[in-house]
Amino acid sequence: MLLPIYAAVVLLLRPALAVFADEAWTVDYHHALLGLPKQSTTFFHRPDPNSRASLIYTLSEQGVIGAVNPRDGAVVWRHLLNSTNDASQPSFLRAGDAQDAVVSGLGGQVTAFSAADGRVDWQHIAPDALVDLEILELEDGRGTPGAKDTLCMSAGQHPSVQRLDGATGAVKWEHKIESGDMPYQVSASTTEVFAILLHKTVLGYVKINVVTLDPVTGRKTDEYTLSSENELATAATIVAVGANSASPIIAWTDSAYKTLRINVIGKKAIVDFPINTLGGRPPQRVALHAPYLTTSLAHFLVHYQSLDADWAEVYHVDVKNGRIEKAYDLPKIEGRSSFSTSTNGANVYFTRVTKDHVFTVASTSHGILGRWNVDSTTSSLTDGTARPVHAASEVSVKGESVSAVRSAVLLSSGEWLLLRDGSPQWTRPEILAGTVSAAFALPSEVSDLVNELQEEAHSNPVSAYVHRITRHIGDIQKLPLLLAALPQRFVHGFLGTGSDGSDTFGFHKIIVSATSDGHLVAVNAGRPSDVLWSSAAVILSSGQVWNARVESAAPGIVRVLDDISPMPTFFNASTGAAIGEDEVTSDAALPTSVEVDFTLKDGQLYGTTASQSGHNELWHFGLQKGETILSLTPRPVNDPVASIGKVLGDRKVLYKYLNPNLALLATTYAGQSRLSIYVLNTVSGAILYSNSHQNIDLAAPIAATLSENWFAYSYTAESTSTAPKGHQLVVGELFESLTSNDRGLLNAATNVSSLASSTQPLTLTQTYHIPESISKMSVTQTRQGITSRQLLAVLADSNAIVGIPRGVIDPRRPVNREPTKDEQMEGLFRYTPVLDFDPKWYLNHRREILGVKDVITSPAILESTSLVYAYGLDVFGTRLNPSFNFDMLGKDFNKFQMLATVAALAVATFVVAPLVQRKQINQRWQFA
Amino acid sequence: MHISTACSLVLAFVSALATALQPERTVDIFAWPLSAAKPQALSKIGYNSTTATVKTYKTPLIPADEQIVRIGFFHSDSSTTWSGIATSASNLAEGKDKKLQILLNTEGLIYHVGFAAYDPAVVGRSGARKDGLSVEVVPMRAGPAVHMNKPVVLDAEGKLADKEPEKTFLQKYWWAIGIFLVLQLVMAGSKE
Repeated sequence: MLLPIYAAVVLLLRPALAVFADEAWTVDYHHALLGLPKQSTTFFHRPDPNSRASLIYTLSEQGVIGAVNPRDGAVVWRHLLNSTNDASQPSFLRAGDAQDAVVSGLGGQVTAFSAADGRVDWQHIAPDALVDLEILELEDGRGTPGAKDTLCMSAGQHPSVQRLDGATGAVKWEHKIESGDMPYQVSASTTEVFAILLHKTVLGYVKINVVTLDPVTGRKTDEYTLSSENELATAATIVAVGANSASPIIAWTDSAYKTLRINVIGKKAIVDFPINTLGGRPPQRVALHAPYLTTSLAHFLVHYQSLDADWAEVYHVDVKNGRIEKAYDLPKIEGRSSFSTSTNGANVYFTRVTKDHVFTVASTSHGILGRWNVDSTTSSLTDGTARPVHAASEVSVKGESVSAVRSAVLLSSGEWLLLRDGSPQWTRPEILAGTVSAAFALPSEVSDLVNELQEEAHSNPVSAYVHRITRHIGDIQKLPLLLAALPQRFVHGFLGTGSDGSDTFGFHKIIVSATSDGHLVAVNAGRPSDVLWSSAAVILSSGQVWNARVESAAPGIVRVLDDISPMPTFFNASTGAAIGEDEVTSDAALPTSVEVDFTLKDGQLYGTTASQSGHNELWHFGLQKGETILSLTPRPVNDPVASIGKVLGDRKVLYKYLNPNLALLATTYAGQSRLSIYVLNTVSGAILYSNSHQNIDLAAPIAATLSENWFAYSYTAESTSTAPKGHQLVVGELFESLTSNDRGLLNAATNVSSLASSTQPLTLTQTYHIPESISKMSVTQTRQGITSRQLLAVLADSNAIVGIPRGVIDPRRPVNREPTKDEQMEGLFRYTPVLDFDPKWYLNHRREILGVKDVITSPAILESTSLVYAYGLDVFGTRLNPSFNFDMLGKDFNKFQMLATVAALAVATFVVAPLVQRKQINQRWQFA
Repeated sequence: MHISTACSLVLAFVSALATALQPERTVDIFAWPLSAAKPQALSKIGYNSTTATVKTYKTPLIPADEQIVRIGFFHSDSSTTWSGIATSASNLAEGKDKKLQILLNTEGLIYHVGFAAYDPAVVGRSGARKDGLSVEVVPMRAGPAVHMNKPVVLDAEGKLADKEPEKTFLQKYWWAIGIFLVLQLVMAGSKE
């Protein structure tokens, strides 16, 4: 009789939905990021020359090209150009004046995009890594009137300069640089193309060589050398080589920043200007800002940056005779300021952004045309925590005055801020695009109470009583505040509008991320739109990448491990303040004394234990010749399991092999396309399960994960004579024995030692074909582990994350036969060789999540819910209910209807009560 | 039918022959109490891809207060890198049935060891044993493959291949006829 009911319940539970339609845009959040914009590749540009609307274009350090709407900061389009994320690689982005095209260069690839919609117009593979890329602005009469041609310079064995057709990307001419000099930059004036080369002298100095090329044929017309024999020690002091200006210039300084030397390219004269420090410290950095258009005035600004102040000088170039003269100074201002150039017709404007002001001046005179206060108290720019790093600006000119200026400013906190006349319009947390590691911090409020209660429990009755009284007095003082907030809370709860700041369900956990440029950034999983805090945790030298790992150390505290300091550093998760190790109370959930440690170091895996003679090696996993470790996945430290067995259809139990010291090791063999998988006991070093796959495509991603008593991994198998190339997912589950109600050798043992016990788990595995490769795997976590789990898989090819319900990949699914009645009751169904990703499993639904490297999960206070956070380039987070939200009312629950029903019943009771009473009295008195 | 049986027999013979002809490899297993400075020789094992034998076995000298003993072997190409596990010292006690596992990789070479000890009553498994030490070979499993559905076989005309031809009456019921005949004979015999 009960069987059909069970079956019905099981069938109801089967479709494990990932996202409900009404939750799709509320429980999840997504930052479509571009990465940190570079100064040289960020600018305003009008995609449609006939319209005044412009977009901000950038090619970021993370190799993402994109267009951002300056009005609201939304991404119009974007492309991930390289997934290697090598920030040191030079990248270029140029836009032709009044053209619907932007041309990017990264690595050896030149790509032209339509500026309005981001469609690829053409691609060109340069002979080697690119050194420079320019758009040729000149009109040579024969050139196509539409698309402007591109010049690209490449380095390598055979450096060359190529002119590419603006419409097709075909090579028009190529000039090979055969002098053996290092190519540095390419530049163009209205009539000539210049290749700037660096010639290494015998003494190790650098000389600047300028080769003049004919823009039509690419033939060399002239060549001359600038700078004397021992003037430039390195190329680092070359300030700028202007391109596409009416008269391009080249500027360099001596290494002590004493003199600025400027040459108008094409003329042999060099003009020297002594650097005026204005009575302060000498500059540390000199930068040059010049317009990028041949039609603009040949004016430029030299920006000096000392340790504590910035100042600038504006110079004019006489195009006819190549004379350079200083026009005016811009005053020294303490604190960082950034300069940017904008043009309007032939006029050139310089915009200066400081901590509290935005100024705009024309290049012709030093009179301030526009001056605005940065008028926001919430911005990290004004409160002094961040400073402007660089900016790109656009000015609107009405008559003689500047009516408005928009500046996209990159702050040192990693936020990209748009200031419109000094007022912040939007910020984008671009710093999160460089996240290398992230962790959920444990909530701290709850632990405070737990600590206080523990203190009461462990002291003598009198002091405990006093402690309790003082605690209650403290609590009563909070009561008026609580009572005052109560009506508002009630209204919020009733209408379901907004949150009141309390975190009853544990959805507002703090996520701390470490970024590759040495920052720590915290976001709130419940309110992800704003960054809680951002701080520079370490000082890195340029080009250095921070390899850090963030972990939750104790409630409210995170621990950061990196390769710079040998000891971990601790930070308060809610404020970002660094704290000493002695202030950290160790987390009660984690074991305090570690008996056995295991380490993966220099490709060797071994376990150690503390003994009298220091750390003693306990076990060792020696690798075979040619074998390299691909990944090591230990079982999560906090991995609660609600049930030690699996209840079968006939009410018997199959016992899980639950060992907290499990790790999954994946190794590959060089040149053998072989993948080996081992399940290790990390205390004894014993191998509990191992297998080896042949014919694996090792260039494709291999992902692995381990949780509870099961593991999963995926790989791409090469084609064989019987099977085509395909992606496969393997799921294995470890049991104490495969006979129900039997624990094998363990019998009734409650505690088992990994060293003394001789138990070997029995492993069941099953393999599925999956439609695409998985780049990273993770498993959902809930508070008690009662809720069923989901295997989260990152699909890099479709920019998505799927949550595969655990029941679907149960290795006990019957193969080549229908399930028996008992198996059906248990929820097992027939094995199918192909596991299709159900569209309902996609956590991202319509969103496109680019460049995800890892997914982390954390339990909420509600048992049904697991918090998910994915990072890499984009940031995506959501809440998952793998077994539905059985402990929370859904959005469709009508509170108003419920209250109305209660009220109606109350009214009905009041109305009917006298009637009933009268009827009862009448019944007693009337004998009819 | 017969051919395939014969084939499998021949194959089995050939593989058995190949196994027998395989060069036997030996490995020295050591025991290394955690507090000891140097490992001690525990056993010498001869093995090939399917079987292993204990050549020598020496009861290790373990200090009385020692709790952990490492069991492993040194890699053949290096005298310092070793592979091994840790086990409880009580597992190496005299009275226990000890089982050493030799984990082989796909080339049939040892890459790791395993160790288990049972009270004598628990285990009665046979094995090449010597003084309470038995040895077992654990070859590397092939990774689990996808269980494909049966392919649909079409004939040259693109139609589903015919089912197996039905057996003849004699093939189906020969045993009934046999019983009948035997019964007849027996009945005839008993009548006389």
